[in-house]
Amino acid sequence: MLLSANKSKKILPFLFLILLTLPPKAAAEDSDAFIWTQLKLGPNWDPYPDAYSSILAFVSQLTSVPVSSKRRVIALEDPKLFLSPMLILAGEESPGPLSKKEIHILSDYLRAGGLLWIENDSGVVGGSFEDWTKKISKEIFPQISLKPVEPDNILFKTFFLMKEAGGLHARNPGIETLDYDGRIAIIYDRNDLLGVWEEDALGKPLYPAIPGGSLQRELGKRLTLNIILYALTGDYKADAVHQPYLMEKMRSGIP
Amino acid sequence: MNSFSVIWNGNLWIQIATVFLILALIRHLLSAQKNPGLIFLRILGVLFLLAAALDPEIIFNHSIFVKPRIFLLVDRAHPMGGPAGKRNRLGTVKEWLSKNKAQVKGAAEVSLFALASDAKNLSSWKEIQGLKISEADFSPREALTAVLAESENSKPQRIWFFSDGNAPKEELLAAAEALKIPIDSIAVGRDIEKKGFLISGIQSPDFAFLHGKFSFGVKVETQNLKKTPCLLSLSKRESKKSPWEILSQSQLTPSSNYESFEDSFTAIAERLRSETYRFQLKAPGVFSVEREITIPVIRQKYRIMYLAGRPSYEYSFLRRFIKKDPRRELVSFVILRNPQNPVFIPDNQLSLIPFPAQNIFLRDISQFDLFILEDFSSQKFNLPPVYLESLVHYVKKGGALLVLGGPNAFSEGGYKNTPLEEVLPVALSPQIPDFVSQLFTPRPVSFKHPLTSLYSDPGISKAVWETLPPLKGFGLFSALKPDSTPVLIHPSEKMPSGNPLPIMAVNKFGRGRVMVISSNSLWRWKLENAEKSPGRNFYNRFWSRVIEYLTGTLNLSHVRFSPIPDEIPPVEPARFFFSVFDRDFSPLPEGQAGVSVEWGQPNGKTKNLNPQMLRPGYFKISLTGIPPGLNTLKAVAKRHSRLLGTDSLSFNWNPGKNYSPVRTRILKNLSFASGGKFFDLKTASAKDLLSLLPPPKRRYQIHRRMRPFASPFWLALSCLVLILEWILRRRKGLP
Repeated sequence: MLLSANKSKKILPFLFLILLTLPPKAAAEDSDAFIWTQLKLGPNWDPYPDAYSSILAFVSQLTSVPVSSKRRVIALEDPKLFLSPMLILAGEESPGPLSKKEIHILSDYLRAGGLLWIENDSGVVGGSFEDWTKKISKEIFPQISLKPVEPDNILFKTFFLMKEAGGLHARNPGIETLDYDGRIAIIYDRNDLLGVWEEDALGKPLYPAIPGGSLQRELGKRLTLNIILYALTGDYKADAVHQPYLMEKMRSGIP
Repeated sequence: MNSFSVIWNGNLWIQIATVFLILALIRHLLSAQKNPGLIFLRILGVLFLLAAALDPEIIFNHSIFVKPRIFLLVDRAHPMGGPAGKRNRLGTVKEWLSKNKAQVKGAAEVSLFALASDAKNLSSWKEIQGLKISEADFSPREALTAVLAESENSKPQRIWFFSDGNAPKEELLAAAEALKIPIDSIAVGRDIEKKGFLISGIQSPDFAFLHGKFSFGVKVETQNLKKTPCLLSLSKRESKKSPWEILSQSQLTPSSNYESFEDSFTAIAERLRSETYRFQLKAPGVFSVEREITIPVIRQKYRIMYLAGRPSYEYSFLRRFIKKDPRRELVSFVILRNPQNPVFIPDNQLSLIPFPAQNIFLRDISQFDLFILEDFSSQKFNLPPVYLESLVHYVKKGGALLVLGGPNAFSEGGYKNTPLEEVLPVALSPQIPDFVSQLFTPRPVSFKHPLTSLYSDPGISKAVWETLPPLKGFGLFSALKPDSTPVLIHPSEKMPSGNPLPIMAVNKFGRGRVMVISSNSLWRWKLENAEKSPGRNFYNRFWSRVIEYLTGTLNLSHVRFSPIPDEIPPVEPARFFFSVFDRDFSPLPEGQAGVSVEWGQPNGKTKNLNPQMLRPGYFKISLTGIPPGLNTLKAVAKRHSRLLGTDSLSFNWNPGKNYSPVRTRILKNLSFASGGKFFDLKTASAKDLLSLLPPPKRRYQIHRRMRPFASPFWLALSCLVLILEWILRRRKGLP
């Protein structure tokens, strides 16, 4: 049955809204699309179950990165771990001690080029999740520690130019990295980056970003995308060829 | 003639007292009584006393004639093995000395010395006949210093120096000056008057860096070409069939008949692997002399351009691998945003920069050794055909190209029927899309290909390839081009011809190499192999080999013989030197590789030799019992049973030839400076040489010594006589 012109006009915005809420275009034809891979570890491993969908839509919309619409959820002993160069671990409290085998697997993964992004969504400084993160980092890399990122860190340049981190919270330092063999092996965030992506059906944020509000939320979103671009391009934006352009842009004022 | 002399040994005070005693006796004789018997006794007693006190010594001499003294120096350094008539130069000297030995010995006192790197004092003429040619060069400073030390004991009137004059001129003259003795030089050798020249040495670097400048040092010796302009030129050619192209020339005009020149030439290495250079020496009326030398050419840094059509794990992992090696210089661009991606954000908040396509493809492309295109669509960015033509030209001129697959590469990327397709080892598929996103495990066509034989043990190579994790996604091709080599194939997919679908293929285009890998998921070999051994390092090994293969480094020899002179001294042991370099062309550390040398002889026999390491990466091989004719040496270096490199050297062993000419001028200068005279052994006679010596000197030699009054008996006798005279005088009542 054909719709009349008037009815069509009323339905089209709804159709558009439905289209926007659909997951990003599945990259079935792509060889190695980016797959959001999340580690199932501990009782609170998935505080924001829908965040990945919004993140992937954002990545797909702004960049040339092909993304997979399906999320990959794995345990540490899952062989698919080694198919996922970037691994996200979210949590609010300690997921409990890792077995020797799990530590060994995680160590092999990180040393071979894997990137572990740990999201502390508890909103508190310190706490059991942070203690666990530091303990595990030390077990894997006894000689190397997590260090707060400087404003000129590559994570603030991979796509968006930024001066500071965002998120639901504004802890300082909010984000730390552990560098191994000339690259970042572990990213640890305290500002709840995943929380900024949770929205209701109408696209309204579910959680407030305190104290910075929308700008802080936007910075959180940008940092999320930058982290993904770091996994896919490394320190590409640190190359000398980019520096004159980036310096000029930085001087012109960025949020 | 005999003679004698008397000396007085008595004490001075006694002699003075004796004089007084004589005076007293004379006075007494004049004044005393005239009894002759008593007077006689007194005189007798005093005479005995005088004789005992003065203790005279009578020396009987006879005269002799002393011959002049000469030092006879025989040069036995290795050039003395050169020809001089039927014998070698040293042999000719021995013959001359043997013939004139009696005459020389009869006319002079002779001290014999054999000279080379030092001086050996010979105790008899027999030792001269047993002298052998030394391996060493003649070192005037060391050798003549030893002669000088000997001369301080007994300075000779003249020095006879039998030599071919092959010695550093300045050093020889300085050493001779210190002796302050006339030196008669006796030149030994052949063709003293012949015109000619030779390139006596070339100093070259072990290797040159591509596009870098390097220098050659050349030593030229001329003979009887006084005021004749000689032209020394350096040429280079691209291949054996190409003509020589002169790079630079230098004119040398000797100011004397025997001269030695040193010159240097600069060249720029333009072709990877090796370049052949030629030195040519020409002069009117003289046969030209040529000398070829091959210099290995390596890259100092590999400049790599990596252009990726989008961010990907392939880019991230490969970029990290390339950047890890400081010898690689990477310039890369990733298309972070497609033209269709909407822009809501001000440009100054994005780190995006304009894609400098024109600079990459037209201006800077020639600076790169390797160009990597990964999943890059020319269609999406509307690359003008001229950009792809430039890429083709780059490969033709020797650049390396690697095309990595992905959904936007090949036909989907708009490369079908473009100039780029022309250089690829495969014909692109007419089908669009031509990318299949499926898991597959590629299979090596052969485990012997350098790109698949990644471990020293072929069994390990095979096992690792067979247990590799699968890749995801591959491109479709319609055919493999002639002269292309498939390296990896799909385990089941076929091309329209029915042949297996290549996943990795290589070919040569012009002077460059091209490789296609139809997938961009090779990062899986890194991450998924993380827990496996020995596959853990497979990813790094694979990409190292790919880069070495494409940039031509794989075939560079890591072993190199040092250049040998035009004239190899035919003195055994003959010495040859070679260097062994590590993968980065630094000297190979000790114990890092097994090094051996195979000696191929003219009769077809081969011998294996163990070279001696002089310092890390630098080896010496010494040969004895060398059969005349063309001999070859092949040095082989292996690390963990894997070949690191080889180099070969051929030399013509022709004893009696290939010797430096006689340096008459040096010998003449030596004689002139020291006040001696120059002779040619062919015409020199012992009589002429001996005539320069001073005549023998008369010298008296003590025959016998006598001290008749040295005994105390004479003193006692004197006392007895005087006592007797006193007793007789008393008896007669005389005063």
